Amino acid sequence: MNLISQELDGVSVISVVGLRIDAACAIQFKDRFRELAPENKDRVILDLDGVDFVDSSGLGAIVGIMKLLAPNTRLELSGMCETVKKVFTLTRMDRVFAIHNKVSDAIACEDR
Amino acid sequence: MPLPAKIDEEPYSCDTFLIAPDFGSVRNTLVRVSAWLSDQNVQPENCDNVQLVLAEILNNIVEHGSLWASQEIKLTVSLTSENIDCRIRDLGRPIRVLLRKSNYGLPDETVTSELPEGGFGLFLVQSIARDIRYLPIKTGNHLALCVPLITDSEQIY
Repeated sequence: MNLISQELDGVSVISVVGLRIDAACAIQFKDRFRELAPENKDRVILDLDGVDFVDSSGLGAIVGIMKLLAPNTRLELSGMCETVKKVFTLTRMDRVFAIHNKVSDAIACEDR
Repeated sequence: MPLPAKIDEEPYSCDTFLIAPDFGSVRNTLVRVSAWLSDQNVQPENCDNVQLVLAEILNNIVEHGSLWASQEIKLTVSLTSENIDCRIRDLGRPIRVLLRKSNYGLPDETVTSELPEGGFGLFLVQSIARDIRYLPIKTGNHLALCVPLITDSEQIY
């Protein structure tokens, strides 16, 4: 599992390279995100396109980085597959995060 | 002593997986279980449900069971017409956490600093699995549960 950071149309996008965010890599995920997290940005998009499984440890890590960025920077999510979406829906975390279908939707979102 | 039979119906397909007590082996097993279920024509959403439930249980055993590296966890997955039955046997410290009711509270999206970063696992297991029970055993744990096979119109979320 690795993360790649890029700036697209002025929006910071961090993409997950790997199929799973789970107990085996949740700490690595959080540490790597901390290294890449930009400063002085209103929002950061975490692109989950290609991730096919997130367990409770992965969910906890994503909530953790959201709290790490707050209150100055808002973490938003994109590219969730149905399996990952299910975890967010069951735990009602889908109400906490802004969730976009694709990175391009997130970038185009007017609420920025 | 024979285990009390709780499965009313004979499984029409069954497989057993031995898992080294580490997170990487759990991950590999979940992928194998999902592939095996897929081979039995189980719909993807049911494979996902099994993966979610087993991930929480197996990782919990790895984290809290104090198992030696050589003490493998034994997982048996059986497919019936209505359920995917799972039995998990380990030689670790007795863990009965799954019998506790999850105290996970639905998050208040307005207070980011107070969002929970844990407590999801038990909640996910109890949201998806049914008939969770520990079977009598002298050493370790023997857990049984079933994951109902659902159709698209019966989605639980």
